[in-house]
Amino acid sequence: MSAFLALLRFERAKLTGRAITWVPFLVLTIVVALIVAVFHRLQFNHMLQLLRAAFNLGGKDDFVNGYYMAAHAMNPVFQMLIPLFVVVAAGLMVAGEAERGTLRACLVRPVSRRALILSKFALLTGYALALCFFLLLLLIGAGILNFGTGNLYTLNVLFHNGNEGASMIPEAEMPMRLLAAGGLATLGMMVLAALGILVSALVDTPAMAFVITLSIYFACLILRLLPDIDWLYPYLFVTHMLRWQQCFFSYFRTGEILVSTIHLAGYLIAFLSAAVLLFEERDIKS
Amino acid sequence: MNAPLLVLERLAKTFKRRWGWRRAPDLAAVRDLSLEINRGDLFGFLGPNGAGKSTTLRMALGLIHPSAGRVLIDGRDLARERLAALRKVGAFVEAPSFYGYLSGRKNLELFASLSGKIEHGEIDRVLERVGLLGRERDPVEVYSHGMRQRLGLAACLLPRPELLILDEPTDGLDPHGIRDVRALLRSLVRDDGLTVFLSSHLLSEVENLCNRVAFLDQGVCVAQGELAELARRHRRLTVRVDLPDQAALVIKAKLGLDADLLLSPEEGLCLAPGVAPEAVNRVLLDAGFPVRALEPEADWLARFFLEHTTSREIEGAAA
Ligand SMILES: Nc1ncnc2c1ncn2[C@@H]1O[C@H](COP(=O)(O)OP(=O)(O)OP(=O)(O)O)[C@@H](O)[C@H]1O
Ligand SMILES: [Mg+2]
Repeated sequence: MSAFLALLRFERAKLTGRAITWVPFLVLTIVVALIVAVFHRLQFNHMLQLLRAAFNLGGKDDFVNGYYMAAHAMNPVFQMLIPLFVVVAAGLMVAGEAERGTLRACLVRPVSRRALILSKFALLTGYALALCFFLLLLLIGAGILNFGTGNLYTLNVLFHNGNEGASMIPEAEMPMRLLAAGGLATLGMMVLAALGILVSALVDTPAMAFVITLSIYFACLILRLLPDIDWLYPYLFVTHMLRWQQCFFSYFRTGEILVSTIHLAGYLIAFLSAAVLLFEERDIKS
Repeated sequence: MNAPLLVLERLAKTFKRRWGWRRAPDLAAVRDLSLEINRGDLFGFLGPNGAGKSTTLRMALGLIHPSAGRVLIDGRDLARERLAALRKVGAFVEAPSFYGYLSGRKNLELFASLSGKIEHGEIDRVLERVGLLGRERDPVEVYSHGMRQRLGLAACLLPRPELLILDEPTDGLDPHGIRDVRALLRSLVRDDGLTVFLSSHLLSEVENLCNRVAFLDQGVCVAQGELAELARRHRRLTVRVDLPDQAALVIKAKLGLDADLLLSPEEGLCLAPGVAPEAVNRVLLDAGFPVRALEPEADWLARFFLEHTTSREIEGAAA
């Protein structure tokens, strides 16, 4: 146990000591600032027309509020930016160290390969959590400070609701909804972290790890956009990674969200076990 | 207590290869290699480039899994008790590597923490020993090649190992560095009771430093043993004497030895290995030949190396 703690401290010192670890926080801050600026300036006329048809809204201020901004900005950031940061960190953690030779320097010491991979995953998860919570706090905080609170109005197409039209979630429910969405999205990032570690443990260069992991992720995203293969969706891990979007449907679908949570946990365990088993067998040649 | 500290037992490693997209014939990098390194040994592992030295060290450290054979460290099988076995070892393979963005001291602290607790002041002690004290706060990325090599040695000494496994430890060091490292290794073996297994292709290094050696060629061990014993068996003797052709006859008659005349009479005679200089001296003096000098061959190890190993990259080694 103390050996594992030593490994965790070792990984933490390496992660926090490196400049590239902190860049994503800066990027996220800039992105949120940009989003706030855009929300101040945009007129949302088209949106207003659609929402007027469904609800009795008077103007932009009736639907643009802090929750609206947070819920809508989560989508692109959780689909693109945070995955990118997590995958890069995962690639550097194992393949990056293999390339630089520090992996063999660790493994000539009395360190179990399984514990090494698990400690790296633990740190990567912590990092993913930090990124997600940082983003959520920043989005929700900046949103509420700039635009106040209120009911959330959404167009169903944006969240793949399956229905036409728009939904409304009362203001009182919003903190719980955001918490659920953020938690589920974060779990999704942990699955991606596990996949990233798996790939990273098997290749010799971080560039290879980035390309392979991101290709798997984006290929699944693309498959999900293709029509007529709905039957495939439940088997794609990204489907479950994106399930947090359902937290913004008018009815909270506890059942489906639970199923996705279980799926995500399953993927996480599968990716991580594969990473440990394959890494144990691997020759460290670099 | 007398059991060997490190045993390599019939080790073999075959690498799968690719040429572009095509599968190439497998490459037997190490074949049927058995070595025993005893406590207190300073064991030199010699071989030309590509002989399989680093591959052997990687197997001895559990970085790559042998295709056949096994490794025992202090009686523990590396395949089964890797952690317990490696607790006694300090090592690096190829060049030592570090986290460039962290300071030298931080690197040492971190790597040492993987092996267990270290005593307070231990880091300063090893920094002092490798001559890096004063530069330990700089990030490793600004270190010179030789400084990294020294830091690599420092890392191996934390926390107090019994066995050092080093891949070309003086690679890239300046003459001061080479002298310091050799002195350090000698003192570690003599004063601290460590055992050292080092690979090298610097013959003078091994000759100066080691008590036992093994020669690897194309993955096969072609010779091994006590350095002194090898010298006794393979080192030639040059006799500088007036009238060398007549002296040769005397040696032939009295000692039953063939002596080759060297090119010029000035240079004297060259005797085959294995003869005791005192005997030659006595025989020649008794016969009235004044012996001007008896010189053991200076570069016998280089000759031995060249005779026993091939300069070509592994060829026909495909399994
Ligand atoms: N991962 C690998 N895949 C294929 N062949 C390899 C691999 N690693 C090493 N080899 C081959 O194994 C042989 C031995 O290599 P090794 O690095 O052990 O040599 P060495 O004795 O350390 O040489 P040097 O003195 O140049 O360091 C070489 O022919 C090398 O090409
Ligand atoms: Mg080598």
